[in-house]
This record gives sequence, C-alpha cells and structure tokens, in this order.
Amino acid sequence: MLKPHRSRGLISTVAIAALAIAGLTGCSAAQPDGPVELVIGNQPAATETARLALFNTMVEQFKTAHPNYEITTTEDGWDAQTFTARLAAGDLPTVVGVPFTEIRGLIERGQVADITDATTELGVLDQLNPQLTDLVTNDGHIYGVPTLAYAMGLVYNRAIFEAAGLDPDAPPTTWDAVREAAKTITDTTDAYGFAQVTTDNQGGWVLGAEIASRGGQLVNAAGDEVAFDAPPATDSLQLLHDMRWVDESLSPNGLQAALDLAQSFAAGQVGMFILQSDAYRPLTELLGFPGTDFGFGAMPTVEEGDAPVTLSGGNIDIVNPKATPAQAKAAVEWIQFAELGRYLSEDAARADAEALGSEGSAVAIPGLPVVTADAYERYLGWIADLNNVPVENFRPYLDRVPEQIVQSEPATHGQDIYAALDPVVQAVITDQNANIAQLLSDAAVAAQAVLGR
Amino acid sequence: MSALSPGRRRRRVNTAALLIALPTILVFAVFSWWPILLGATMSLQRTNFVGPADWVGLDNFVYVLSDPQLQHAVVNTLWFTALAVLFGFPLPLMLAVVISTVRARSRGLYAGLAYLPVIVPPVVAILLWRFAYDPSPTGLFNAMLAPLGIGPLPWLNDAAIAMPSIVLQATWAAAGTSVLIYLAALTAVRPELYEAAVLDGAGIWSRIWHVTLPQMRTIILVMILLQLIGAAQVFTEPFLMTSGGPQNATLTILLLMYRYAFGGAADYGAATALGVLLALVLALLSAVYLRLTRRWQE
Repeated sequence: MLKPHRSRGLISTVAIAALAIAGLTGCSAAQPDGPVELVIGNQPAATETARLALFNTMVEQFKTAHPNYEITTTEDGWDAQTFTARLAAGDLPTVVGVPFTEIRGLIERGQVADITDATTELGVLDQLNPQLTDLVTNDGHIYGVPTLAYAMGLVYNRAIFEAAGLDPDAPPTTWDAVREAAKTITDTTDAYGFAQVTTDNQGGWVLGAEIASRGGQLVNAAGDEVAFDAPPATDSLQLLHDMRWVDESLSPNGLQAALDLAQSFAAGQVGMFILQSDAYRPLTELLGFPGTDFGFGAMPTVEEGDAPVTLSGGNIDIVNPKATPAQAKAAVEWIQFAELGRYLSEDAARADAEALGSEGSAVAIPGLPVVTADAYERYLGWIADLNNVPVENFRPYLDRVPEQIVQSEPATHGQDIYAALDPVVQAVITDQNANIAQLLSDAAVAAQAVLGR
Repeated sequence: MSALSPGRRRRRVNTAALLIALPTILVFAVFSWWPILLGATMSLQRTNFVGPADWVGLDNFVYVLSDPQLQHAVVNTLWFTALAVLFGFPLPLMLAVVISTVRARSRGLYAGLAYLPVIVPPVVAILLWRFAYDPSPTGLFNAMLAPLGIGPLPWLNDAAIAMPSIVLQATWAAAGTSVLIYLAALTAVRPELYEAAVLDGAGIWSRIWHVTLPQMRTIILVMILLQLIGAAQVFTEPFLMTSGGPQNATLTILLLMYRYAFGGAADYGAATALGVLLALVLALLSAVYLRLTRRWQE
C-alpha cells in the first residue's frame, strides 16, 4: 500500500518560505510621527543601587521638565563588537557614551549625529573645556559632548616608592629620572620599576603618549602622513629597550593589556607605568588596591622644567546618527542636565557625590576638567568633604596642570596606527636584538598604507 | 516494485520527516545561510551602516590581498596547522591504540580521562595555560622545569616559541575528541585480521602498521581533513593568549579578520572579504584533498 506522495513543489515552497521569513527579519519598523522618543543609554546596573537610584531620580526630573518627550532607558553602552550591529539594526540608544579613543573613527565613518545646532542653541559649547572641543569637532561641526576626561600620566605605587627610599610626593619628572627610579626600585624591592602595556592597540596608544611627551607627533597636522618615524619615537623605544635589557627594571611580560598590567600593579609587582589618572577606579574598585598607595604624576618630559604634554582619555556622549533633529535636541538637553548638571548646581554635585561615595566608588578623580577650569574648581570645592579620592596623592600632577599641554589623538585611523605600533613595542620588550629603526620604518609603511585607505 | 520503473522514479517525501527537520532548516537558514549571504554581499561593499551601502566591487579584496599583515597571517596559520597536525594527529591515534589494548572494562575510564580536557571550557583552559606560561622564573611551567635544569623559558613572549606554545595547549584541549573517534574506529577492526597477522609472525608494531591503520584509513583521512580545516580557522587561542603578538608572530587569518572588524577601524568590508577568500581556499583544499585521497578510501 503506497502512501500518496507529496510533490516536490512542497519542499520548494517550504524552503522558499523559510528563506523569505529569514529575509523579512531584516526589515525594521518605520519611525512614526508624534512625540519625541528618547532612548537613554548607560543606565547603571542593578547592582549599583545608589547610582541607579540617582539616575532614576534624574530621569524623573527630566520627564517632568519635558512632558512631551517619551523617555526610555537602557543599560546598553559602548561595546566595540556590537556597536555597528546595533546601529544597523536601529537598536542603538539615542544617547550613548563612547570612549575618547573611538570618537574620531566614529566621526570619520559618519556613525555619530551632527549636534552642532543643538549644542549651540543650548549653550553647551560655552560650558565645555576648550581644550577638549577639538576632539569632538570636525570641519566646524560638533559631534559629541565630553562628559568625563582624564589625562595620561605616571601612575606609581607610593608604598613601593617608600620601600625603595624614594620620595612618594616627588615622582620622577623627566625620562632619565624615571629610568633611575625604576632601577632603584628593582634593586631594592621585589617589584619591577616600570612596565608597559603592549597589546590591543594600547601599546601603540601609550607609546603615542610617550612620543607626545618628547614633543613628537604620530601623524602630521593634516592627518594624512605618519610622523612617528622620528627621534622622539626612537628615544622612547630605546629607553624601554635599555630599561628591559640593560637595567632589567622593566617587567619582562611583553604581552599585556591595561587590565593585565593593573593586576600586576595591584599585586605590588610593578612600581610605575604610564596610563590615565582614572586607572584609580578599577585599581581600587575591582582589584582591591589601597587608594592611599595610589600616586599620579604628570607625564615625564625630556628636560627638567619642560611643560608636560599628555593625551586625553575619557567618555564622550554621542547621539545616534539616525536620530531626528528633535531627538538630537532632546538628547543634548539630557546630556546637559544629567552630565554637566553637577558642575552647574551645588545640589546636583552633592547628590551625585553622595551616591557614588555610598557605593565606595571614587567620586571625583582629578583629571582633565570637562567644563571650564573655574567651574571645575568650584565643583571640587562643593564636594570637598564628600570626595573619597585622596586628592593629595594627585598633587604632583595637579600642580603641573596649568602648564600642561593636551595633545589630540590622530584625527583619522588612530586605532590603526596604534595597531601598527603594538608589534614595535612588543619587539623591544621581547627581543634583545630588536632593530628599532627598522621596526619603526616598517610600522610607518604599514600605518601609511592604512591612512591611504 | 510495479509502480516504480527506473526511468520514472519519483521521490517520495516523508512529510513527517520534513516537519521534524523544518525547525532546524529554519534555524540554519536564519542564523547560518542568510548571514553567509549577507557577508558575501558585504565583501563587495563599503558601509557605515547609517546610509545605504556603497558598492565597491573587488576593492576590499584588493586591499586585503595587498595588506602585508595578510602574509604574516597566512604563514602563521600554515605554521600552526603544520604543528597542530604534526603533534595533534599522531598523539590521539597512539593514545587510542594504547587504550584499545586495555581490558574492555577499564577502557571507559581511560577514554574518559583522555576526554577530560575537552570538557574544560576553552576560554578557561586557555587562560589557565596563559597563567602557567608566565615568563618569569616563578611562572608555573618555569617553576616545574627549573629542577630539571631548564632555564626560565619566555614561552609566549618569544616570537619563535609562542606558536609552538599555543599548539601545545590546543593539542591538549582537542586530543580527547580524536581519541574517542579513533577508539571507536579501532574497535571496529575485525579481530580475525589480527589473528591472521599473528599467525604470519607479525609483532605489535607490524600489526598496527599493516592491519590497524589501513583498516582505519577512511576515518583517518576524514579526521586529517577536518583537522586541517579547523586549524586554518584557529582564533580563540591566539586571541586570548597573545592577541596576535609578539610582533604578530601568532597572528592568524581569523584574528586578522577580527582586527579588521573590531580593531577600531570597523572595516567590515575587508573582514568579510577575507572570510570569503578563506572559505574559497578551504573549499578548494577540500576538493583537492578528497580527489587525491580517493583511491585510498574504501
């Protein structure tokens, strides 16, 4: 007894239907007209109860002030792997924070909204630190608002300095002094005097800071030619090489990113390294490093008395490039209220400081002011009694801030240039016979090819 | 068989089987075939995902093929593959042969022990080995080798031995699966062949070479091909252990693809172009391999 057969057509229909369904998943719903929708990202996680409560209070206040806005919040923030996918899917919040190191690439690719009109209209530009506006400006247009800013400098362990007989309040201010201090630390304690990050583009980034501190540049002013194949880079690499192979004061681990280095620093295995002032936060909050041992000085210079040159880091709030002008305006209003509010109102400052302090989070780590210097001083004064960060440990840095020069990162392809320099830094640390001149010229060729893309 | 003549055989579709397979087909269609199609399309475009994509033809392919990093990546991947097959192929086979000589009752225990490394989640295993590979004299492996007089080795920090170190970990982690498969193949060899060999005066090595291996040749050939394809796509180990360093000595093709997409440039065109190229090369390799080994298969 034969079963009635089904036609081949059935299989084809089913398969086509399956693929059609799969195809339709790519469609997204059109934006309806009506009240302005604002999706706010970077909502604190549920485990951060005080910050979340403060965030929710601010959202409520904002809703009351703007009843015609439809506001939703999400914990989504910056994630390199998923940002583009979410942007393509329309899943990106209207307001989201991105790191300093990403903003130039995002601007270049047009993946952030132009908020020139909104920021000018709301007067945000006048409130910001002019040193940082270059970073978010392109061709006269503004693409983001810096909300947190830190400078690169010399992070050191005060306890190790004392154990080595060095003055923890007077960290080395020149590169020669850094080398001497590193040698002293290595000779008198169990720790290595100095360490350098080398992977995940951070090796190139920190090397870029070291090059800048010697008056060098990574790219030329126009941003279309590499400029690091020059003495400042050679000198920086030679110093690393000599510290590693001659003095043996450099940690031999040639494959570490910032977190790995932070772990060995917190374990007391390293005395100094170059990174941002906000290294304080993960060191004290995640790795149990005592805040009183954290020391931070300005970037070392070549000659005593030179002005320190540093790169900046931090967070920039950007607006989804697919946002309408009304949404962009709403987003900038939120940024001004939530992120800059603490610099403009004592109540907001203290509320924010109390929330952070109650969780054991660092309240205000000295770094670069996001707002004008006066507003920042005033802010620090408002929260002086609530600030749980030992600001005195940052004195060697703060004293030099007035003369400090903040250099911008490369306008385009910064990450690619750092990626090209990572192997160079790894080479000098892992290979005693590394030919620095050859490595630099090879890296210059590789980086130049990327700049041309 | 009256209704079915050779000339006009109609295929009979079992509806129930089709319905059972339907969810799998749908999942594959949505999560496997559709992304592959999209990826291939993206390799011919440049897009920032905000506006419509630009069609750039073979620009991405030209860029990828002229990238000096690609040369590194290909050489490193070939090196990894060669090492992985060199170490990772005979070792499980020998283990399987040894385990098969044990009494059947204890065979399960030894097979289980051999399989344990596979159960450890890959990321956990890699990070543990990375910790053990610490180049300082107090690193785990260096501390273990010190009493034998072997000086502190730089392990992952030396461009020359970084890749062999990674292969060591990869072999440790993956051998168990191969052991089980070879064990199953071994037990399928007919015992009469062994008896005949013994009667002809063959020692243990002769028996392995002349009876065991030839009987397993189909499985072995397939396993080698799978291992080649898998080794060509190595990513997790270099990503977690060395991030491609030192000096790009452990940069593999997939890691390069990851760098294109997520290394800060968000160059999805180049990443997908490299993916398409790799897929084509592996397909070609498989075709050539299967053709060359056709006469050795049963």
